[in-house]
Amino acid sequence: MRARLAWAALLTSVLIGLAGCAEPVFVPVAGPGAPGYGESRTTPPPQVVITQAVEGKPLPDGGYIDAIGREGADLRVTGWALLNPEPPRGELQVVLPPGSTAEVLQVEALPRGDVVGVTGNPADLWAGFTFLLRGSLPDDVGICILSQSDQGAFRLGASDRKLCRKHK
Amino acid sequence: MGNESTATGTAVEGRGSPTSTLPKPIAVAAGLPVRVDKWFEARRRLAWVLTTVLLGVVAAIVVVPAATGLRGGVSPVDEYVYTDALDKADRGEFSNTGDKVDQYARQVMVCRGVVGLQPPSPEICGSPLPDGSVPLGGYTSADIHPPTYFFLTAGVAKVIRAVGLTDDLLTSGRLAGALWLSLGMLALVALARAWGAGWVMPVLTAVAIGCSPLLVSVSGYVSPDSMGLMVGAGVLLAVRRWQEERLPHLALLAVAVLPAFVKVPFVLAPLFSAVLLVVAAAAGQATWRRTLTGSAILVAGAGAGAVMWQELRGLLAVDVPFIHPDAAPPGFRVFYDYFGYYLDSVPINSGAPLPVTYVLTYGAQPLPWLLLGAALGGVFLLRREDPVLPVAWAGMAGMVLGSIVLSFIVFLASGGFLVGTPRYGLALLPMFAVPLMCTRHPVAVLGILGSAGVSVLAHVLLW
Repeated sequence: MRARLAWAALLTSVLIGLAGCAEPVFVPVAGPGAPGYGESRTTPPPQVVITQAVEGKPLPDGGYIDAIGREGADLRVTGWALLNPEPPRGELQVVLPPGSTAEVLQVEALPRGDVVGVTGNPADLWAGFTFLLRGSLPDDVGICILSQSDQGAFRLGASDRKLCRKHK
Repeated sequence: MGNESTATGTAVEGRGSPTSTLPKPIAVAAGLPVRVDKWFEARRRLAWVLTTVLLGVVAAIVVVPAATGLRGGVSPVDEYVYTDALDKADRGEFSNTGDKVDQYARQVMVCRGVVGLQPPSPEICGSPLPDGSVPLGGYTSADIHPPTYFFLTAGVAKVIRAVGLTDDLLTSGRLAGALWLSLGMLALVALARAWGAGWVMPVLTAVAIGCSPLLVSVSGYVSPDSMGLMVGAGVLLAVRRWQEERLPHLALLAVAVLPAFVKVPFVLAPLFSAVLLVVAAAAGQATWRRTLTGSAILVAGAGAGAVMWQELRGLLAVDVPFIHPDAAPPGFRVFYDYFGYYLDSVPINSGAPLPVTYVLTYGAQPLPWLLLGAALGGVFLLRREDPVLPVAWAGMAGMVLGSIVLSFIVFLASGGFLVGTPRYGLALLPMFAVPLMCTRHPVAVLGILGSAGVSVLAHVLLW
């Protein structure tokens, strides 16, 4: 009985050893562990500033504000804009309602494969952004976001158009 | 299996169905299980070995195509956060409330996509993915589940990688599902044997259930639900042993507490086992004193398990819990909607947007009807002293009320509402299956033979 067990253990060990040396049977087609997969570096976010509305012609539409949502007392703003692929990425100008004040926290660049799909420009991969606004912002607040980069100056879709123009 | 000779005697000799009125070929086919059962009854060791091998092969046939990515990316049934929990368990870490999903799972989801919901994104595959670019702001929702499944699966996955089947964590974790499915199907057969069934019907039923879209949706992917069949059958088997006075009260208590430590909805198994005990007493099969003791143990144990896990989860939390945006207050309408939910949803419907081949759809079609028919037959036709009668009643109660009971438990525990889905009833599936496994009615025999055969064929075709 002991001899049989010893043979079985030896055979199992050899099989495991051989299997360990062999190529794996199941290899993922994409992602970690897939052939050719490599991790790339991160991209810095654009600069976000609070600004007053500008005078002049309305800017053309470019980019979009996807979501504005409460996170505790703060507002999280998420969207995409036509920015530079490399630093300096450009600037996002946030126009707030009159009488409101805010500071910008936690700006992140987000990868947006869907934007590349729409614009056809691989340089727009990191067009996404998200940031927090902390300040005196009413619940029914509307905001306007303008972008400025080597691609030009744009007004992000879903902006409050009245806010984007200077009040006189 | 020590007491099988007495347990199986009634089924082998007494539950044969009249086949004389059937056309000869059908009668021969329907009568075949009696002869096969008799042959295997005389060779039980061989029967168990063959059953184990067969169910292992079936589990592999079912799990490998899904696990190795023939169907595409990660499962939409929360596999993204479960992959992270598996990744953490592989490193010996828990997925605590307030934890963020690590880069491995983020990369897997983005690079491979989500089946039916999100295509792969090769352009961002490999780029560091910040919190804002992944669901739930990067927080995990796997913290709701105990770590048991993830740690056991991580252990098995290490062995799978060690033998060289794959180098990939996710693939190895999914392949571990073949083990949980094999054990679940084996437990199902053991359960049927404990209730007096032969060999053919339990094995065919286990195969049909194991091949069903519901089981594929949980066994071929990383999901704690893949242990549902095993846990449910294990609980019911323990209850049967307790009924036979072969299991002490303390062991029954442990069996009642444990399901919550695999996945909380699995508490349905001990809860509806308490119904089984009560029906057995009402039918005069057990004393009320022992019945009330056993029922109290099962209900209190299940409740204690769920409460203990929630308390432990709170102690392990590193941040405030993430509130799922789907969470909505329940209303009476919701409970009404879920009345009888498992009648038509288990086990043919996976409840997930995962692809199911036409052949498998046809193969699985008869299964719920057979389960329901056998349970109804058990309720209305079996004699009071038949041990299957209480299981049939408890199974029917589970089919009709299971989803409502689960929604009510979640409402009591959290004030939130749980969206009902067939996989939450997985631990009840063995209870639903016992009456079918214990019958030899020609319609049941031919139906389950066809269902199991076509379902296996559907999976073989995927290879």
